[in-house]
Amino acid sequence: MKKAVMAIVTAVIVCTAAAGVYIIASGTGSGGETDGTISIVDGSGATITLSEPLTGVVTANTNIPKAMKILGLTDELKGLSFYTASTNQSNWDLYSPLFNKDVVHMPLIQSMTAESIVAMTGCKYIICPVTSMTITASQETSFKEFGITIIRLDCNGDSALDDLEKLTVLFGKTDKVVDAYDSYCRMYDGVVSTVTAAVAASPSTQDRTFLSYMSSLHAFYNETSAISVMTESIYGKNALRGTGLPLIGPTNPAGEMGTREVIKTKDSNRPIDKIFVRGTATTNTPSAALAVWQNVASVLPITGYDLSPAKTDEVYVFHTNIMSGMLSFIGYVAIAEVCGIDTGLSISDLIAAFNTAYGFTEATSGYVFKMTGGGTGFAKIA
Amino acid sequence: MSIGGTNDRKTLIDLIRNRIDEDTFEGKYEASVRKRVLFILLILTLSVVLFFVAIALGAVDIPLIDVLKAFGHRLLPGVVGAPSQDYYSDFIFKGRMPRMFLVILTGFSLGVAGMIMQGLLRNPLVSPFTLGVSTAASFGAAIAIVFGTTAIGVTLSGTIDLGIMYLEMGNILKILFAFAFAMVSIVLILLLSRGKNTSRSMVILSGVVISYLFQAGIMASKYFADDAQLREITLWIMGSMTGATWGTILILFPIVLLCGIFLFKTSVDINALSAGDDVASSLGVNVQSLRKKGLIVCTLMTAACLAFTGVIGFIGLMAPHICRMIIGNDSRYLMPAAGLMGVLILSVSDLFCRLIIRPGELPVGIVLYITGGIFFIWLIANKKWSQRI
Repeated sequence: MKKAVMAIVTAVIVCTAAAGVYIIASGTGSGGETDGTISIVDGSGATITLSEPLTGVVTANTNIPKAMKILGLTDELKGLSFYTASTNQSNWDLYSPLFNKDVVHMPLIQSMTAESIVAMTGCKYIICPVTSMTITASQETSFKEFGITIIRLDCNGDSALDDLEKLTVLFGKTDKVVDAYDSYCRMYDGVVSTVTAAVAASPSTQDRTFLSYMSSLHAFYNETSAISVMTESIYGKNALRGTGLPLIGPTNPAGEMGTREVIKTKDSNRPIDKIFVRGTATTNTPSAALAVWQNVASVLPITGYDLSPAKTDEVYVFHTNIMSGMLSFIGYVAIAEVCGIDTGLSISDLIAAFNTAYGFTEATSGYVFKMTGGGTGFAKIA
Repeated sequence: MSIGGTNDRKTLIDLIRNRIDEDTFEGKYEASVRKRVLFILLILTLSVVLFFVAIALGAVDIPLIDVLKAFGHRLLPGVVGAPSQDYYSDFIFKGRMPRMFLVILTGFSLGVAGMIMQGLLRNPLVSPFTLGVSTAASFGAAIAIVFGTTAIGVTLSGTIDLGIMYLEMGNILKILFAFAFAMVSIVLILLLSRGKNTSRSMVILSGVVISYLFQAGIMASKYFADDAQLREITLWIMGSMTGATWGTILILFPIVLLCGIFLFKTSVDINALSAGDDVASSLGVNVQSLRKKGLIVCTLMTAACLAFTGVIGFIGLMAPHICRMIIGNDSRYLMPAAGLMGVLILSVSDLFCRLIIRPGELPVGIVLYITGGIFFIWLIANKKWSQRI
């Protein structure tokens, strides 16, 4: 009898404990109940469901804060976090004045903890890129334990407009936000369609080839990259097409001897027409453009292999901001301009209009540079 | 070169050509010397053949006739015609030849350094890799990649045109830091294990400890790195020959040559050391000095190569062991043999990496880790050889 009673009491205690754990654990789920009033599929394919619009977020990296500013959501940004230690402070100095004075400078993305997010901002939402320079899987697990919802949006490249629309949904699709989104789309689509029309009206360049180079990664963009797709919509074909180089990602390392050899072979069989180099955030002067080119030469070395564009000064260096992100529509104009296509658009006017519309302070020149003197210098085009 | 200690001194050619009476003691000795010399000649021949094969094969295969024409046209432009394609000469003289020379210098350095270190410390598992030199060099490279000019407190940028090569400031720092920290590691090891009667085990233990410290530094650098820097660190640690230019060869060749000559001169002392520290001392060898100088010179030679190639593992272990299995432990022959075997192993591995996914290429470190792992599993599983380790 005694044993039976003890067994029943033990069972009751165990069940009570299990129920308690279940109740506590279910209270720390991935934020929000399942009323399902707001729902999007983020850039990683995860369905994000919110019971009410977002009112405060922490962002990781630079494209998302820019997108939020375009949508007039400066007050909703509570914390800014960046990825690279060496540019952490300079990025903060650049971006923080664009937002509410109360915005908090968060720790580096990779060292951010759930506790720091909650303690420093009180936020339960973080918006971060999908794959590049973003929070890790193990961070995500611990964030979810704290009830922090992770929303992955790149706000960059192919998905820029879609991600911008998703942001409008997440923040409640207010009239102000929707108007801002529509205004940006009109600007973006207007520029791209103008460029596309100018390209269609110009002689065909389908028999031309180009190389597209990313200076920070020392790699060529292959045909799967967004930048290559953008360029091919305006001018020729990517010279890496048909070379057999592996298409594991959007780029192929330039330092590999095999890459250099197949490019040189292609250039020897039929000269490559142009080289486009994507610079960095500091490529805003002719000397900076020259430094970027010399960096390229040190890796390839292009001068050693005498690629045709380097002999004919058909090398162009672009500031990174117009090749991706919220100013990527300017990239269309820049590429068209260096390819001799008259779009009737001015890069400086477009950027001035962008600044006026959205309160940014982007420089209106120092974005496009052309090689001169056989690689001894660069001249500013725009 | 004369062989033998009798009045009838024989030349190397006599030794190879003439019949040897192996029933006599002298005959047995001459037979073993002949075997060693023939082995060295064999791997030298294979290395030369592989050199030309590696010149011809790659992302773009160059017909052998065009390879020969390229060399001939470069030496005798009026006599020998140019290859069928203009760019073949570019590929050979600006890409593949510097790469093959880097393979030769690195393979030789690692093979010799491994053999000498094993002889100095009388431990068959010692190599530049296991003593922490590679880890220290990786740490230096990681620091340069992640923190770059901020690590030395100044802002340096741009590219230097040395005429024979372009050097971008980031690459200069990477090379300097990798070399410097590799040398720091051996200095730390020697400081930690200093003392008149320091045992070999203490030296090896110091190397392991130093390796762990630098490994922690690498992990910290990776933590603060962004995506591009992380990829660069990872690729550097995998090791590759993509950094080969004639400028690289110009820097490395005198270092490897001088270090190689110095180490060859110590080969007799290392033979004495193999009998034990006491026996070597009684034969007039300053054991501590030999050990110190030998380790420093080996580290200098390998650090110089690793600064340009990244981490190349296992050659310092495999090459001496393979040679030891065939020709024994006489350092006078083992040193050149291990050096050439290192060249052969690295040549085969590099060629494989260039062909397996061509026109792309794998980092050579991947192949070496697999090969080295299989080799040592076989060695351990093979009773005959595992007892000798």
